[in-house]
Order: sequence, then structure tokens, then C-alpha cells
Amino acid sequence: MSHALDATAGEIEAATVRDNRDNYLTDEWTVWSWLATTDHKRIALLYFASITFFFFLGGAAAALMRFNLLTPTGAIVSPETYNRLFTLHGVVMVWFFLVPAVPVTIGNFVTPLMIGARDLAFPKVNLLSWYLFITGGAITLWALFMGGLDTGWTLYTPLSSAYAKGYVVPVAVGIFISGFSSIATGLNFIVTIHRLRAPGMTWYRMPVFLWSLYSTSVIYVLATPVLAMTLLLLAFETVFRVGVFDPALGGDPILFQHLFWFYSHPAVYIMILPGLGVVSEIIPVFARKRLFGYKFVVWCSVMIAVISFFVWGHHMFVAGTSIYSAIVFSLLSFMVAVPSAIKVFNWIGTLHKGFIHFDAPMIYALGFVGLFTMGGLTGLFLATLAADVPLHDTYFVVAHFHYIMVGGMVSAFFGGLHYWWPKITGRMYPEMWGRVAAAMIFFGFNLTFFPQFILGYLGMPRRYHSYPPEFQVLNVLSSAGSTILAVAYLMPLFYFAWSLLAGARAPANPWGATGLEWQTPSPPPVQNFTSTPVVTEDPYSYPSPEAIQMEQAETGEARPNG
Amino acid sequence: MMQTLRPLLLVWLALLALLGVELGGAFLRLGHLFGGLLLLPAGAMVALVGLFFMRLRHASGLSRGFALAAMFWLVVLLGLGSMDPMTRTLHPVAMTTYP
Repeated sequence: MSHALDATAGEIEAATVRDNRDNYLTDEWTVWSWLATTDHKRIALLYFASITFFFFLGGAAAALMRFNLLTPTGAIVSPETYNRLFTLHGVVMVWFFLVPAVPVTIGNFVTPLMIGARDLAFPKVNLLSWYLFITGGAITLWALFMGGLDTGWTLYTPLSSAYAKGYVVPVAVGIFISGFSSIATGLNFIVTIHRLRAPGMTWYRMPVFLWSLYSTSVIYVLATPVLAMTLLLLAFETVFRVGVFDPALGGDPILFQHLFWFYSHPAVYIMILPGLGVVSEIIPVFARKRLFGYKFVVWCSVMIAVISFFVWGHHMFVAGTSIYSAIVFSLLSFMVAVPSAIKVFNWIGTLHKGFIHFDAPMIYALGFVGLFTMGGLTGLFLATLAADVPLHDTYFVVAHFHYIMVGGMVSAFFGGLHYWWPKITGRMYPEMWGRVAAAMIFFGFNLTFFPQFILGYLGMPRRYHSYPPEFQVLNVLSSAGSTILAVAYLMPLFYFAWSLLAGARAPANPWGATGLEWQTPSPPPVQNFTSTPVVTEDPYSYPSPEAIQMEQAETGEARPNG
Repeated sequence: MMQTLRPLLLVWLALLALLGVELGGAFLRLGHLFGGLLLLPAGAMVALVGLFFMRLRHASGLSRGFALAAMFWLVVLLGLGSMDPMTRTLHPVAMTTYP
């Protein structure tokens, strides 16, 4: 993005080269200065630490489950423990990693930088949202470790309200509290994007990532209260035996599923929309091209957010809902494929005839495109009423949503983390290790989850502790893949830690990217910019491929950004 | 300070009263014809929150837009959600006694 700053590019580089002591990392050193900070960049790092903990906790539960499934009778844990493991995995991964992951970390860090603001609109609310998040997380963890829960992350009634052995209400309270964190975050992003954009930054000059965050925030604000209300009703029924969902008390168990999925299906898009935005940022940078069909891409984000509210019934095709309702929800579910597919076409259009550099963020982004497409296409199977009947509650569903949420979303998260790591820390990471980890994640992921499509097609139900011996080969392959995946996910922990200690100093703009966040030193100063930037051109204004070819011919350089 | 809080407190008390009416109404056997009357106190509560807590009368177009969006999504929830129970085939079973 071209823009005019009061400070010249040379001054900015000079500020970066000298050991800048007034950046946000070195501004104050006390623990209190971190715990009471209202700086969006520091709060982003607090969130990074929190969700990394939750990610590896949920991942450990997944690893134990995959280890258990090495043998048909269950290798290490009892059926009861297995139920608690997949519940812990689901609850932690969905509500304490996937839902907040990109918005509260990368989004928190780069949103004000991308729009040329000093902070989010409500810095104190931003800090409050982190405290709400860790409070909710602590209560949930306490419940999960004191006795656990065996309902699965969906907490379906009457299982949860009448039969469950475990801490239903404390888990519901923890999720309830963390929901307020989501609402606070969404509110902050909406107001910030509306009110704090730099002069000249019109809506169509905003980076796609911000459009994605905006769409996500609308879902945060409008859908999360429905989950809060549902969890309150569940708690009321469990504690006071007020009949809402329990048929024995005059309630309707399907009502719980309607309310739960009215939030939780849009929540799938809360998880994936920011990932779509991250990938839309990375691909133009490493293809050295303008984003193909910018307006289509941004409006597709909005359309996905809107349509996400119309499709929740496809989770309930075999739950006893009416056939008429199921037909309508099936048709509506197909609609969401259209904007998703348009995005994929636009990324491919951007790559076409681009000068592609296979740096680690780009490898993650390309992996995302493949895995997201695979997850999306298999979603069409499940939206088809007749196909969903035999596939429902099998490993096909498990594989499908992991392709979207883990293959897609986690790849995008790692891609974004590598892309903005130099800006966040002021240090470069070892590029070779970044590429190796990205490739290993892609390979390990496919080895883990592709066999599960076949297992599901063959009829293996999900959430079972044991299985018939004929399914063992595919299960062993899947468990082997999970080992590779676990190692690949751990690798960035080590090389990022090394980067913090000994990585090369990052310049202000190591990728040669457009965008306001790259025009301020790495790491940024406390106030983000020395003066308010003015935006004068559209985003992703990279030179045309012909101009790059001419420049390369003249200079003899193969890589425009050195 | 009290002058600012007084109208808010009054509105809050009105909301509690309307909640009581709504709750009490749930125990009345109003039948299909008059059951919809229970939407009236609920609608009044929405209006009070919108007018006095959210101050929509003096709010910007953006705030009003979001308030309208919330109502729209509520209509989607109730509209699409009621499609199932209104067209569902029921198979009555004996009541279960839980342990």
C-alpha cells in the first residue's frame, strides 16, 4: 500500500537499525507493566502465551487418543477416560484455541498497525477481554481436571443434564465467561475499524485481513449471546430441574441442538474467516502480485459471515428434525460453498503468473489452500441429505472438520505467525526450519486425517474407544501421522525461542510487503507510528509482472525483495 | 449523579416487572389463540432496552444498524428454527424415569 508518512523511509530504517529502546517490548520491564498493560501489542502477546498453552494441552489429549486407537481394544485408557479425553480435547481446542486464535493474537497485534492507529478503540476493554478469557479458561480447566466431563464438546442434552458423570455446570460457566471475552474483542474490532482508520484509508483500501476480522467480529457479537443463553438454560435445567431441554421434564432436547448450533456453526466461520484473511495477505506478498478480485474477496468474507447463520440445521439431519426443515437447511448449506470457492479461485488467480517465493509463510498458505479446499469439498457430501445419513457421526465428519479447522485454520495461524513474527519480535526466524516445519505439518496432517475419511466411509463411528480389527491398518496410519504432526507443531516452539535469543535483527519490512504495518520499525514503538500515516493508494499495489521482469533483467537479481 | 441513574433504575425496575409478568404468564393456560400475547411483555422489554439502555433514539446510523441486525438474526433464529418443530413428525414414547 502506497502512502505518505511524515518520516522518510530512510529515517525509519535508521530507527530500526539502531537498537531501538522505546519499542513496546523494552518500554517497561516489570511483571505489572505486562499484567496491567493496555497496549494492544502486549495484550496480543499475553493472548499468544495463553492460547499456546491451550493448544498444546488440547494437542496432548489428541495424542493420547490417537495412541489409544493403535489397537482395536484400546491401548492405554479405559472407555470412561477416553470419553473424558475427547471432551477435554474438543472443549479446549474449540473455545480456548480455535475461536480466539487469530483475532486475539495476530488480529490484536496488527489491526491498529494496519489501519494506522495507535491502539484499538477500547484498550481497557481489550485487557478486560484477556482477563475474562483466562478466568473462563481456568474454571473450565479446573472442572476438566477435577473430574472431567464425558459429554463431548457439544454438551448435548439430555446426556449433559441428566446422565453425564462430571462437571457440566462449571464447564458451562467457564465457556460462558470466555464468551464475554469474544464479545468484547468483536466489539473492539468493529468500533476500531469504523472509527480509527488513517486518513485516506477507505473501506476498499483496507487489507483483506481487516475485512475478515470485521466479518468475524459481527459473528462474535451477534452469535455468542445465543450460546450464553443456551448454557444458562442448561445450567438452570441441571441445577434446578427446570424443564427446557429434558423431555422427562417437558422440554425438547432438539431445542438445545438448535440453539447450540445457531452459535456453533457460525463459530466454525469465526475460526476460519480470520484464516482466510491471513492467507489473502500472504499470497500477494510472496507472489508479488495484486490480490486478484479484491472486491470479490472482501464481499465473500461478508457473505460467508451472513450465510453462516442460515445453515445450522445441517448438524441435525439425523437428530429427528423434520424432513422439510432438513431439505431447506441442506439447500442453504450449499450456498456457503459459493463465496468460499470464489476465494479459492481468487487466490489461484493471484498466483497465476506471479513471481512466487516459497518462504515459510507462503508454504503454510499454499498448504492452507489445498487443505481448505479438501475440507470444503467434503463438506458438500455432508450437506447432501442422503449422503449425510450414513456418514453422520462417523470418522468422515471428524476428518472433514479437521481439514477445515486444523489443516486450514491452524496452517493459516502458523503462516500468519511466521509472516508477522519479524514485526512482532524484531527478530528473524531460521527460514530453513520454518520451511521444514511447514512441509512436515502438511505431510503429517494428511497422513493423520486422510485415512479417517476412509474409516468414516467404511462406517467407523466417532467417539468410540475401540473398533473392529479390520480398521486397525487405517487407524495405525492415522496415529503415525499424528506423531509427525505433533513433532512438526513443536518445532516452531524451539526455533522461535532460538530466534528470540539469537535471531538476526529484522528490518522494518523484511518481505518487501505493502501495508502500513511494514512502514514502522520492527518491533514497533509504543505509539505504533511516529506520525499518523496517510493512505493514498489501493492495497497490494505491487508492480505488474512485466515491470518486475524488466527490473530483474536490468539488475540481474532473481528476487525483488532481496 | 442520581439524576442520571434514576431513569436507568426506573427502567431496570420496569424490566424486572415485565419479566415477572412474562414468567407468571408462562403458568397460565392461554391456549394457541392467546399464547402469542406473551410476546407483548417481551417486546416491551426489547423496546425499553433499545430506547433507554442503548439510547437508540440518539444513536448513530451504525449503532441502529447493529441493533436492527440483532433483530434480523433473532428473526432468522426463530423463523428457521421453528420450521422444524412445526413440521416435525412426533412419535410419542413412554416417559422415562432417570436414575
